[in-house]
Amino acid sequence: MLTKCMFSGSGGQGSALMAKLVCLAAIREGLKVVMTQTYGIEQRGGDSTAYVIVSDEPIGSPIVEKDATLAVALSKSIYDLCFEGSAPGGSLFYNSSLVEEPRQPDGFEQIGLPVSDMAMKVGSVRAANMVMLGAVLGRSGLLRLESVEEALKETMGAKKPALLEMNIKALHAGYEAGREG
Amino acid sequence: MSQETLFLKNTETFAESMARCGVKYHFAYPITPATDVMKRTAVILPRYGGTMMQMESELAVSSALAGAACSGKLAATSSSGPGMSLMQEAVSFMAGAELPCIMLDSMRVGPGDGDIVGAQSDYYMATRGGGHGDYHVPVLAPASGQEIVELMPRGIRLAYVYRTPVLFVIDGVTAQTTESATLPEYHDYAADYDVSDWAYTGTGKHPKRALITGSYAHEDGFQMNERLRRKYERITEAEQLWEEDSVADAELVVAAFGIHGRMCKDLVRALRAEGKKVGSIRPISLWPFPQKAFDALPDTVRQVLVVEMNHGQMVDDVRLALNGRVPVHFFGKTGGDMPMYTLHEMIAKTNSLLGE
Repeated sequence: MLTKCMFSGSGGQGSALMAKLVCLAAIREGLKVVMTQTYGIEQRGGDSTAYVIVSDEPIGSPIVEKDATLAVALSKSIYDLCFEGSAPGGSLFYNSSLVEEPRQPDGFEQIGLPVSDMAMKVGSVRAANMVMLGAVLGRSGLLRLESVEEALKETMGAKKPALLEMNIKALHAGYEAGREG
Repeated sequence: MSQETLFLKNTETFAESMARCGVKYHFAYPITPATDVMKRTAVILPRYGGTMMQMESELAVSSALAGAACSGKLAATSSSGPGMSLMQEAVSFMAGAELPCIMLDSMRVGPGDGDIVGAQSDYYMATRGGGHGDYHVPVLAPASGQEIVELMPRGIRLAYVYRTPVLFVIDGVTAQTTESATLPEYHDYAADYDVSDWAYTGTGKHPKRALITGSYAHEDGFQMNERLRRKYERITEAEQLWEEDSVADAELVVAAFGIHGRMCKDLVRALRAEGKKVGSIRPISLWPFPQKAFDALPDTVRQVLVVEMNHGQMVDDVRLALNGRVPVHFFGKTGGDMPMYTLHEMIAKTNSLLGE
């Protein structure tokens, strides 16, 4: 099993946190993970992408080369990069609250979810990343929901208990939507 | 600290590995992409009875390193190309004075200040000594976080058994990659070696005299260099290290170290799946260069491709090792937003050499 992922969004949307949680949860499940960062000069509010490879055996090339089998676009400005970075047979999850005119995919499936709107319903638009992460888990079965929940508690629990509850709610809302979708 | 699996930047894994294997003093000056090593040792070394000290420059770093090494304690530094250049005078001294230490060059694009993105541009500096004089330092090139962990005890053994600086080189892309690594329980490997016959251990209770010097005259100079020559011959014979994959019946062998070497695992798998007889050699000790791996190549091998994140440095050693047996091709790139060739580009290059 080897899954190449890209988690993309605009600065502050929390795509890097999604990637980190996937890595921490995968380690809990005894899997190997590699995360690489985007190159170039980053700026506040600019787009950001975290690349993650999850595997049940030692990982060879750590670089995701426009061959993501699981891509996530949280914002409109990063959508094209994710669309072009998706591999045949892969899945592209996009935030349909912000990406209004998705392109027609050729060879990979595309799943649009209004994660910004869904996040507002559970408390804050800032939890859109957790709704999306839940949806990815529900749809792909990449990792167990419980592993990610534990990783979330480990990362956020001690410092921000109030935010933790909302983020877990968001994660669950996304998970249910992912399983249904 | 007990054994545990952590999710760390590989620079942080380097710091953890040093601390858990007995490095007591870490001297450093900040530089991308090596700063994360000192940030972590600053926090963790005190837990193991050690300390990180930020010096005012790499010149001071290397002098402190040499001074600490005189005490027989395990000292280390971490830097990148521009910093390593500044340290070479002290490294040459330590080679001559036969002082053990651990160094990391987290390589970036050069020459000059160059660029902060990862590269393998310091292969020459690492493997040709770096400073003045007839000397070498053992060079280890881990290709992943886990391999950093596995090689640290070996590096310390080399440093003490042969009384020499030992250099780890990691391309900046690998250095800044974040991945899972299982870290060992604490063990002070340096404490396994008796340094009492040469180290400065103080005169309070031990009124012995010891002389540590890199300065020799006439016959002494000849004898010192002969001693170093014999030492380097022993290291060359005993300490070559590499990983190879599917070489036994290969027609084309790809040779690469660090991240490109790691990528060869996928390259060989992809091309073997198409029935192409491709294998790979990943040098792990860059000095001594794994000559034995190339001596043992079967007659089936028609050509060798060397891939590097530079404009052709290790390729020289591959050509020397093969001594004209088969053609050696080079494929390398340095700098830019993607400062290396991708796996797809490596596969395409290999296919073109196979005539496809």
